[in-house]
Amino acid sequence: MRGGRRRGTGTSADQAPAVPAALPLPVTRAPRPDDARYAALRAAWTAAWPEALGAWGRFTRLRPPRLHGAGEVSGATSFAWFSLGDVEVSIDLEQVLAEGIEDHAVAVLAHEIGHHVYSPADMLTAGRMTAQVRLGLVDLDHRAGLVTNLWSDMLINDRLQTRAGIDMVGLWRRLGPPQGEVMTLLLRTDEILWSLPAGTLSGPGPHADAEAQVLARLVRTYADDPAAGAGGFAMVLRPFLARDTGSGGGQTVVDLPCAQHEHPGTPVPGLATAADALRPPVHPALDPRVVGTLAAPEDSTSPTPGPQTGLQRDPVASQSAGSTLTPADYSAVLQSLGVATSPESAAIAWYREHAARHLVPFPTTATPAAPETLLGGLDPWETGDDLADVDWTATMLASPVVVPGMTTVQRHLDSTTSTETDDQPVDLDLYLDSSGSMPDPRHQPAPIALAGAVLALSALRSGARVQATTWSGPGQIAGTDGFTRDATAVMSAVVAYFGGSTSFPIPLLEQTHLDEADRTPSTGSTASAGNAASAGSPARSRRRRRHIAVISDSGVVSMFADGAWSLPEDFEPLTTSAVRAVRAAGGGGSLVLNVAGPPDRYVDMAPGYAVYTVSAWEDVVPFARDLARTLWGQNA
Amino acid sequence: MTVRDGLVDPAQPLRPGPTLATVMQRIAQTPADRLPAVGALGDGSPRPGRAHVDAAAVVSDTLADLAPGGVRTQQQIAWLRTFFSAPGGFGDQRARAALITSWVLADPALRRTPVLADVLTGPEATTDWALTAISRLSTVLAPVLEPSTWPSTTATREEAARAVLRACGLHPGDETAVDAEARWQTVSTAIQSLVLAQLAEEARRTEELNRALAEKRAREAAAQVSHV
Repeated sequence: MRGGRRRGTGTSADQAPAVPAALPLPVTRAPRPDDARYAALRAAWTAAWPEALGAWGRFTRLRPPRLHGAGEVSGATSFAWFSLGDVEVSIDLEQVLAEGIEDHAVAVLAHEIGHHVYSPADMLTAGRMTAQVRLGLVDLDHRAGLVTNLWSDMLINDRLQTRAGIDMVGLWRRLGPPQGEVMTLLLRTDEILWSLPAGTLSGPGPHADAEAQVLARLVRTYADDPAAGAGGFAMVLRPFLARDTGSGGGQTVVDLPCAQHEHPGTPVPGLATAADALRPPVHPALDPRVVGTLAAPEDSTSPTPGPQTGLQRDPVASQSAGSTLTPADYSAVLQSLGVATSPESAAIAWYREHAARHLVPFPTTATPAAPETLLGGLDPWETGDDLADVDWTATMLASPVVVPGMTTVQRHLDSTTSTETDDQPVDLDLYLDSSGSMPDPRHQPAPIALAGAVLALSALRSGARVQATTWSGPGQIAGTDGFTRDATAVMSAVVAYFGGSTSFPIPLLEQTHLDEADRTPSTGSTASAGNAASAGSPARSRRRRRHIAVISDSGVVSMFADGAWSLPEDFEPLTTSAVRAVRAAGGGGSLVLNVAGPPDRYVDMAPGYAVYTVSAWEDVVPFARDLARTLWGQNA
Repeated sequence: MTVRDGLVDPAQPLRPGPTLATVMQRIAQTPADRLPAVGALGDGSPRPGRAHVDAAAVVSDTLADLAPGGVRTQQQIAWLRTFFSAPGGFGDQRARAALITSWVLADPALRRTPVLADVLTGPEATTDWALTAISRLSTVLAPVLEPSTWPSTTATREEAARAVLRACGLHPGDETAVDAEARWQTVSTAIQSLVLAQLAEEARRTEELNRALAEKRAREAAAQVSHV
């Protein structure tokens, strides 16, 4: 539902909230004297629920609506709202009474049900619609959620009025004429759709008939594909939104009778990888699907049907030119949907979704399983043996009279070496370069960060633990602070960004993989140059193998030069901390580098590490393929 | 914004006629022989062995029914044949539109409209009234709404019915003249084409403006980066 001439103080378009209102909260209170009135209203609206469901088909099922009485909810900006996350419809009966629409229960409820079964129906469609609306609004991002909801309202109301026989006209008449140009335009559109005389719903003119006519065509054209028509709808509405004000300081479209409320953090699966999310929207007047042959140029007036030369654009060609959302766009769309928690969490969700299709098998170590116990025969239990070992069942079966040491028996247990093996996953120690030369993964799609996400999520999927460390200049280190199975903590490190200088955290690498005696003097107590012997130290033999991976660019040199920018003249690859660490870790190493050209230089300086280059989006798939091929061969 | 369409005489206000549903129903009941395929009428000359509809003859017969006392002149038939032989397929289109229009004009419900009593005062006036309606629909509506589609959908039936009424100087009897005019503005294909063309032009200009602004911003951003 929508509308715009109701309660509250004057809120202009410019004063619209930047984000959707939070989910209205229940209020704990004592019953009020007028609750009997609400009980009757609640009973009437509950009774109307089956009929409202029936408007969407005989088999539509949805849990009954939440009908809030007087003062039972706070923060509600409308008398009706829906939540796709909760799959629920809510009605504020107090506002219903205030609006005087208590007799329109079926229309209101059927409309709200329509949001669940028709438009947007699910979070992904809502997200795709919002992304398209943002493109159509150009510079009015903060109105994206509002316009998305208005578009759904148009589709739902038209379907209910024309195909389900629900009296939406009566409801609008009861709500009264709108204020503001947007609502006037939309109700004029409804008049055209429903063959009503001008002004029936929209009030006295002037009306933007041309825009209303094109919107009416748009509604009918995209009735079966809400996401595809949302961008065009926003393009038509944009100039009206920009100058929409209520006369006399009254309410405008900002004050909607129907709203969408979602819990922050509600996932929107599929949105980050939706291929049509950034498809450039087409103005309905230029959209061949909307205007059809009416878009033909004036000189094309051949009376005989023939090839439609007047089409402006090939819709398929124009619609396939889109691409996926960037992390920043994705975050903004989540914000408009009211499900965003932070840009960081949005970026995490974006990279997780993109990485999911590239996950690779991670190496494992096969170890013998625990010895198995076999039940043997019965041995005499003699006094002095552990009383707990007596097999009382066998003892009583042997003799009903128990004579310790004479009739008592105990079960003999044999053990055998298991033929089964356990696959021990190889843990991942991941270092992510976030110096200024690296792209900020929270704002733009960073293939190199995606490669890191692929590595981390592949390891977690195989049961491994991951230590993720984001590093930049000296002292600029953040991460999981140890190995963890917490995917969110790991991904937080993947998307973190310092943007400082470049200095690889050698001390952390050494502390993680090298015994104290093997560390360099600056970080440990004892210097050590070789370290084949230390590889077999008792402490290390007890822990799982680890794979060291570094996501970086040319700054990875600092990893082999003890934090310096360039290699020393007497550089000896086999003695660096990085090489000793990978040898001690036992699970191999990977350098994933955002560099142009062949990586030979890095291969030479990093024995024990496999080197991959990922500098463009197209490099991610070859990287995943090569990584899988390399890691698969490391199964021990 | 009200757009003139050439179907009505601006000097003559529209008067209430039959209801819209009555005319739409008549159009929906158009017999098959009044709906020849595109190009089936040819040049009007009969072809041996094939059923043939002579639109000029059908219209002439309709005029005879509408104005029983009138005289069918050779000049009238000749005018119709000329009208229906326009080149480039327009003649065929006009003829097919005239076949449907004459079917609607022959509806007794239309002829019983009280206000037409002032118009259909005699055979000559009736003939002029009918020929005016036929020529208007054939030249104004038919080029934008293919005659064979008039009976097919609710939308095309409504547009054709309103067009017929307008060409006859009437508006639906169940609507006011103002409401009928407003509704016509929204259902008329010709007016829609005009309105959409204006909107399209505006949208193109907006697109070009946005593109130019984006390019300008990109240039400015590039200049700032290069000077850091």
